[in-house]
Amino acid sequence: MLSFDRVSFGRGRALIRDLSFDLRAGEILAVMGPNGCGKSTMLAVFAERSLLLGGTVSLGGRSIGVMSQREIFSLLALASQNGIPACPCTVEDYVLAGWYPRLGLMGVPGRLERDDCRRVMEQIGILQWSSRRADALSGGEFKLVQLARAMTCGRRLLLLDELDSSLDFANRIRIATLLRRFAAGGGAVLMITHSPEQARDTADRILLLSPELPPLEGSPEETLAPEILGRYFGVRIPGTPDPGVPSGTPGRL
Amino acid sequence: MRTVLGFGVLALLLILLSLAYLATGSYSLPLGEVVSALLGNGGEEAGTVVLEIRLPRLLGALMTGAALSLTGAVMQSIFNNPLVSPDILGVSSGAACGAAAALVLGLGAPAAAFSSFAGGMLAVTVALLLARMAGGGGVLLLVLAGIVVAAFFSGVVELICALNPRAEEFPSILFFLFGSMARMTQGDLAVLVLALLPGALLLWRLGFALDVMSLGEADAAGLGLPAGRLRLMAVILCSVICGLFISRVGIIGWVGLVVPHLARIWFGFRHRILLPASMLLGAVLLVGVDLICRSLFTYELPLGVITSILGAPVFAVVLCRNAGRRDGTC
Repeated sequence: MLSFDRVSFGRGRALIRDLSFDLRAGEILAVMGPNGCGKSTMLAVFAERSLLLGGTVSLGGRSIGVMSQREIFSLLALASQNGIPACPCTVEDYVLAGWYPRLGLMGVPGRLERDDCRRVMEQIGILQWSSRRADALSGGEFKLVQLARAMTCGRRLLLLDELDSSLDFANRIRIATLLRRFAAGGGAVLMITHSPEQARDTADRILLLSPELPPLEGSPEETLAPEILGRYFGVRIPGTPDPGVPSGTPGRL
Repeated sequence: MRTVLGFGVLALLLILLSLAYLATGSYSLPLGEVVSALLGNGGEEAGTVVLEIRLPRLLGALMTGAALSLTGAVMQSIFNNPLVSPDILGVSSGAACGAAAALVLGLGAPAAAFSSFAGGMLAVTVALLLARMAGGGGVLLLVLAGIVVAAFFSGVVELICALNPRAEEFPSILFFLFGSMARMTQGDLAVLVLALLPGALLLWRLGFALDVMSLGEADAAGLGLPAGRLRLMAVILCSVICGLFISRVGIIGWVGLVVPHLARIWFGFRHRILLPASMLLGAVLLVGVDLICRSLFTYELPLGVITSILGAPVFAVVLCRNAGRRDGTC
């Protein structure tokens, strides 16, 4: 569904080089790494092509280089770390914007689009917020609204940037359940997270990024082993041997 | 329901104000005669007064209110800033400069209107180029470039006035700076209709895209919306509309800033509703204000003076009403 083939990206200077992975339907991939290592930039390549410095990113087998922005974003949804909008829109308006890539500049959402949004909001359990103003939501509530927008329009691929931060633990469980159900229905999810627990409970595989080490992809058991995690985050996790100076090329496990 | 009620009340108000507008003046007419003059079967004198003198002016006020409010609402959305007015890129200073230059050269009203439009477009072009040279089409740079350009052209207007102490052009220049409907002709009306209708229709068609744009540039880009291009397109369209109106009626402040705020309070956020609602409210407001200008005193007050005096306190109330909101956006 989504594949990165020897991709380098960054603003002018490469943050990450030679990143390759495949995300197939039915899978959830968690991406972890220290602050500033390029996780969000990795997702920004879809809106801002100049960030892509080498390699090929493809969606459904086609390189994003030959696709229009609207085509890309009607296939995938990006729930980024942008804050709550500073405009007087309602939750329903915010969710409805998820239909923009299909409708285009002159489009008008109609019955079909509204019904789809309502269905998704009901599925997430936030339908009762429809007419609330988006800027009156708490940070955690807004994350659920972002998830709803991502799931509109029949998208099968969700890219979620720290959607689990600032969620209470009930909502974390709820999101994990929703995402697993989404994947079981043939969807694919890439989620950036800072929580090893969330990654372990939700994802099938984990991708570790670091400014110094080559990207490492593997199962939660492999990648979340304290010595590996310690090496990628450059910190000694209590109860494990000192990771020392990062060395060698771990490659793919 | 709320929307329908709002449009209904505004439409009714507009009709009533328009009838009052056509009836009042130095040659006062009863409403019955106004209506029969409008239907084409009134007396000759009443027909002349209503159809040839007052109606063009009424339509001018109506369309000016609609145009300034429409462009104000669009500019506020595409700049994601509630404090933006339609002339944020300096169109009115440029227009004033063009008009003043033509007037001191003694070129006459039609040339002054043309020169004013050209001045407005020049100011906007310079502001856009300046922002681009300074590093892009981002909101902050555009606003700053607009302030710079507006300041420069205002300076030039003052220079023109200072260098030409011949008194006879000053009334015309002041007239332009204060804004007035008094010189509206049928030729002007045709220009204004051609500026407003296609522009309004196009902006209305972009309504949903403007909704998405209001969510913020980064968010819109994450939905595949070409935010920079849409902003440039809307800025140019709004500036052309504003420039054409200002070149005919002079500078009328505050309407484009305040009316969209008032419209949002009742009609909400969606541009497919907000834009026509702003236009209607702006039309009601300007027809009402021009009625006051014509009837309150024995001599005529400039329209822009009243809109500024009324606009500032109304805006203050709107600000206070929103003070409890997260960041003061309406």
